[in-house]
Amino acid sequence: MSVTEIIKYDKNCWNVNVEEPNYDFGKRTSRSIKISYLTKPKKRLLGDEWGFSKNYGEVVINSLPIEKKFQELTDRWKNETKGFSLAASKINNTNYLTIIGLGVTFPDKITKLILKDLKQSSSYWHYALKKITNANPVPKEFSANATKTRDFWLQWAYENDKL
Amino acid sequence: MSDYKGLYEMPKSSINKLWPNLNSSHYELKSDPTDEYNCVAWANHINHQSVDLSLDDDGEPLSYPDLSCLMYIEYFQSQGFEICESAEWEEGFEKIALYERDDRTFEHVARQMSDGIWTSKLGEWEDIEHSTLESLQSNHFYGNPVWYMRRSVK
Repeated sequence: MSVTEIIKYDKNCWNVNVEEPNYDFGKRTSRSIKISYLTKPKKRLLGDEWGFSKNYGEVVINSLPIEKKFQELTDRWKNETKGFSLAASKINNTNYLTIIGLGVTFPDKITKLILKDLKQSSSYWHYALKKITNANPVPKEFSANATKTRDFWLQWAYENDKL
Repeated sequence: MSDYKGLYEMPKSSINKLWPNLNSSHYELKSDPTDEYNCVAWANHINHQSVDLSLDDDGEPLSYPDLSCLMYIEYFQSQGFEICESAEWEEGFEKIALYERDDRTFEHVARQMSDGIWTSKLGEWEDIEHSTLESLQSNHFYGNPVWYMRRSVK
C-alpha cells in the first residue's frame, strides 16, 4: 500500500489517495481516503511509507508492526503537545494526523489500540476516534473536554464490544 | 517538544528550545504537572476544569481566522474583562495578556497577580510565576503577548 497523491480538497481538507494492491487477483486498485488535514500533509508521506508485509498478511509500517508504529506515533504526539492548552493545537500535529490516516486504512486495529490507550490516560482521542469510526457518542457540549470525551468513548467501546 | 512530565525534570537546554527567554528571567514552579485545567481557565481563577474554545460544535478543530485572539477576547469580556492598553500593573485591576502565534492563532494567556508578577499554566505541565511576559515569548510555541485586558478587583 502506498500513498500516491495528495490533493487539496477545500480550505481544511486534503485528500490522500492510497493505492492498495489486490492480492486475490494480482491487480492493483486504488482508493481515495479523505482525511481532514489542517495543513498540507508532508510530501514524505508519498511513497511506500505504509505497507503490508508479504508474510502472513501482517500489517507493517516502515518495517514496524502496526502496534509498535502506533505506540511510536502516540508517544511522539503526546510528547510534542504536552505544552499546549488547546485541543486544536494537540490535534494539529503530524503524528496525530498520521494515526488518523492509519486508522482510516486499518479502522479495527487502530480503534482498538486507541481505546486501549484511552483506558490508561485521558488523552484527547475524541477527534481521531470520530474520524476513524464515523461514530460520535460525545454530546456537543463536551467535545473539548478530554476527561468527559474519554468517559463517553469508553462507554461506547463497552456497548459495542470494542474492548 | 519534550518527553518530560514537567519543567521540574526538564533540562535547561530543553526549556530554552521552548521559551528562549525563560531561563534568563526569574520564574518559579507553583504546582505539580496536571491536565485538570488549562491556561484559559487558570487566567480566570478556575482550577478544576479546562476552558477550550478551539473546537467547533461538531468537535472539528478551528484554525485562523476562527481560532484567533478575538474569540478569547470575547470570552474574557463575558467574564468581566475589558481591553486595555498595556500590561503595566494598575491599582484596583487584575490584568491578563493574550499570546498570539505567527499564524495569528491564539495559544496562551497569562494573568497578573496583585504584586505585579505573572502566573501561567503551561499546557499539561505546572503553573508558574514569571516576572515578565517576555519570559514565555517564543515565535513558534506560545507566540507573543499582543492583547491586554483588565478587570476590576472587588
